[in-house]
Amino acid sequence: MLLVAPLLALFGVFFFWPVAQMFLTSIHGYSRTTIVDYSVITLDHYARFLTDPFYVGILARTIWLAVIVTLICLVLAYPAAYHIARRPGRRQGIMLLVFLSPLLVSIVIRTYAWSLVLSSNGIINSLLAGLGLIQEPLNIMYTDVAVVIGLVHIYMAYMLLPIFTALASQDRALVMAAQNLGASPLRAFWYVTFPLSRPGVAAGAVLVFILSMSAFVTPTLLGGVWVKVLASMAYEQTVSFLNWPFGSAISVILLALTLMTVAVYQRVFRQDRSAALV
Amino acid sequence: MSRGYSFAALFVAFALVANACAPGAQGQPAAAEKTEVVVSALGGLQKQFDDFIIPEFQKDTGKKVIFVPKAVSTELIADVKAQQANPQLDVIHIDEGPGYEGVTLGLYEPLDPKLVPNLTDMYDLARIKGDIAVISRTSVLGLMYNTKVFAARGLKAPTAWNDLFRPEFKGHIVMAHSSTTFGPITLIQFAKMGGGDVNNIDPGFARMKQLAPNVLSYEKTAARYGELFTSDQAWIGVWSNAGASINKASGAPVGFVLPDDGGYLLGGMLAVVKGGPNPKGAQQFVNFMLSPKIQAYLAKEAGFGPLNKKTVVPDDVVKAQQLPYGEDQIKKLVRVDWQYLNTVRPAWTERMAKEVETIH
Amino acid sequence: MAYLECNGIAARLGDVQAVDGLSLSVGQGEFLAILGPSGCGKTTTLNLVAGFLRPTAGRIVLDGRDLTGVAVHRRGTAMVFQNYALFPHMTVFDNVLFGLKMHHVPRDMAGKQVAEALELVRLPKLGDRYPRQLSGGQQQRVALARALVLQPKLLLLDEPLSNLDEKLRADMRIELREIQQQVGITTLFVTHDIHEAFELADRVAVMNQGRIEQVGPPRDIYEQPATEFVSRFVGYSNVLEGRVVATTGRSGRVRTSGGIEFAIAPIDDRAVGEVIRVRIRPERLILGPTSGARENSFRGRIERVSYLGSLIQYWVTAASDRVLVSVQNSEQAIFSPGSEVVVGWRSEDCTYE
Repeated sequence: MLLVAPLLALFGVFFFWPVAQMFLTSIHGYSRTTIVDYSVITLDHYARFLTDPFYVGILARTIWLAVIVTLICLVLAYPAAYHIARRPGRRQGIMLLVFLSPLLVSIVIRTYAWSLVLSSNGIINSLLAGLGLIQEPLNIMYTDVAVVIGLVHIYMAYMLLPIFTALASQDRALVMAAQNLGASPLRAFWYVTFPLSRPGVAAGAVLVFILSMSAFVTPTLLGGVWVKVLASMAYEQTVSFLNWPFGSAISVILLALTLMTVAVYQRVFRQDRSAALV
Repeated sequence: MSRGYSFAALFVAFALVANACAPGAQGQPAAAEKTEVVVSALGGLQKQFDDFIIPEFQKDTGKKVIFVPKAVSTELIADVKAQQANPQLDVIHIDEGPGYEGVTLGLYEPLDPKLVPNLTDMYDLARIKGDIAVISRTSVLGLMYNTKVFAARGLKAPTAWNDLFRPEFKGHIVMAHSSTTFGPITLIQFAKMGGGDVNNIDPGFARMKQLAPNVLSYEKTAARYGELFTSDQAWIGVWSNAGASINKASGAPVGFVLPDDGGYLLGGMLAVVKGGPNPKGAQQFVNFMLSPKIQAYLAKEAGFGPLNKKTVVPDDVVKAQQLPYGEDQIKKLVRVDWQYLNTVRPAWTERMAKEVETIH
Repeated sequence: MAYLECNGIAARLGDVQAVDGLSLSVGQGEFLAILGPSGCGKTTTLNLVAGFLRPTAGRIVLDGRDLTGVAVHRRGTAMVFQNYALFPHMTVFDNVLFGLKMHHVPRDMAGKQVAEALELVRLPKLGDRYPRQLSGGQQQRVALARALVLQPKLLLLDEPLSNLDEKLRADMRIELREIQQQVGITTLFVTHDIHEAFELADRVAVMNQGRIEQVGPPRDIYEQPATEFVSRFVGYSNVLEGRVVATTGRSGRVRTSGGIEFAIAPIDDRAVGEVIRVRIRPERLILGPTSGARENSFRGRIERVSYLGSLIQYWVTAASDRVLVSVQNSEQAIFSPGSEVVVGWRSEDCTYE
């Protein structure tokens, strides 16, 4: 217990205190002269958010984007992780490095690069136009598609790593056993490999979902004003308008969503854990 | 194993949300000693600070300036407010609009005319009641255009606000986002074009909606303007002469015009942070920034119109930077009431989001 | 043709020729052990039969069907892995059911078969448990049940007992043999443990460097080892190196460089003057104070005595020769180091290569 004390203190200072402060701010009044009016306790900020279809729409869009990004990451990362996990050890390291190398470049720079690639006179449109496939440039920038592309690229590694870890730690004799018992390679995958990789899939999905939901830079740069998400709304209220109570309320809603995701994950996997594993 | 995963997920979730949301959570400069003055301003001025302002101030006063760059003015005010209990900054230099938020919030220490003697040489419009802060420079709002694209396509350079509505610009117009200083002024100008004014803003929104299908994007930072014009995605946009000057200096192929049908004054505010680490140094720095030497330097290098009456700027600089220079010229520019605009800005932004930014 | 026929099969693992032209026949219902040191290619052989590896040469025929190019899941072999490879996310019942499900056996019939299989391995009540809730021995039985329930043509056992402790291993050996006999299933069993191989198998194939050195009943392997490798691998062998000095009919005489001369029979293929390495098991040597009742003997001195309980081992030297003599502990007195003794043996206890 004594040993974890420093960690707890660190958590207290850098996490619990800011979160508590954020929550307290969100339930107090807003005033132009003091920003937070501590004499008023109110749920007005939450009501304003939850009763305005504009903000509820942003909430829905945020979740929707995160779901799509998570699914695409899963579909793309699983085969890659599977492929790498089946390589010999030394090559695994090299391939992982290749797949994880985007992490070495800052999100802002990667996103900026995407904005150049996707723009109306960018590589994609130039290529398609050059091939004579399109007359007018495709409007990809400043759409959900651009944001999804950017987020998938940025968060792919967070899906790939846990799935890879789950697959690489699997005893290969299990698949051999399944095939030996009469399962075709496909069925061996479906009944053995995949179920056993589910903790990795779930961990990756939760990570990517949470990261996508709280993404700020990528939706702002690639989506412009047309793809509004909770994080950019919270930023705008907090920084541009100094309406910290409303900004905090939006943040608390985002945090609640995140915690709910983790809670669902925990719940599902506490049950699942009794059934499996490691 | 799965317990480890979930803990990691939880931690990342917390860390992300907490960091994204906590105001002023960014790194802060270490507490300064008395020989240092901590100044925060827009990052576009980094070069001017490094090249001239910091060394000159050191030469004049023996004090060192620590420059803290920020991307947008509002972020800077948010920082000062977040640090209110324990201020880390001495002086801030920001756009007038967010600057007045600081006045409303009582974040500033009034200027001391004894320590800031240059105050007496400023134009009247530069002075703020009680010298709670000072408007140190002006720039003008107008239209920036992509000289490369215009030349290549033989387009006629813009001269008036109405040029924004030329159909050939469809998909290549950059507007200042309504949460910035320039956004609300553009709205007011559009309202005027439609027969309204600051108190009758609906016609402004109508014109915004009319223009929306042609807009490439609504941006908040000089950096994004630079990117969009450099990559030829943007052909024309609402911007200031000073902003255009910064973009030009960093290699963007841009020109600037002050529209015939309405020039707006964009003030830049200097203020001393209340309770800052070096109060005297702060006042000295403000005085230094108001000196004709610096005013002339910023006119030449940043396109900032001087507000110290004694500043002399050569004609070629005035022309090259399209400076508002001299009392007559400055008086012709329209000034907006930021104390009022700050109260309506959030509502206008929300309305823009709901009514205009849905049109693509 | 035998039930299982491996004909000149070869396989490489990376740069190593793991199996090198191996041929082996197994009769129906036979329990054959492949015995060899680690790295000799025995597990690779098993993997070739199961289909996890493709041979680079040769043919494997099972019950008249050429398995070349037949996918793993269509071979009709069932394997028990060294680490059991039980599916951790399935109950014992589902583990055993798995193969039946893959073979589309109707659920109610399959359920009955699973129950029978668990009964066979004496785990009738543990169907609801998960593998990690079982002891090593129980896991081993589940793995066996999972393989047997399919009534495979061939049961493959890859060192199935090596992860169990000594006591349990001894019990499981007996049980494994009983179950195999009860089911009558043809079994290929891979092990590096001589006692395991000898106790369980009808026949033992000793493998070395990708090849079979000798196949035969345990007693032949031990008493008539075809090669020095086999001889040494299945137990200690004294080696007396010398030249053939005389041959008479099917017997002959050999003299070592140290001067020991002895008779050897039969000796068919060696001429006088040839070098020969003669092997004698330590327990086939007898020890006495004077020349005993054996036709061969030499005088030597006890160099060292090891007391092993039921056995006593003596190192005896004479000139440049040195032999190990293993004697059952009996009422006889134990010689002490330095004693002069006579070592005796029969000519037919000699083997050579």
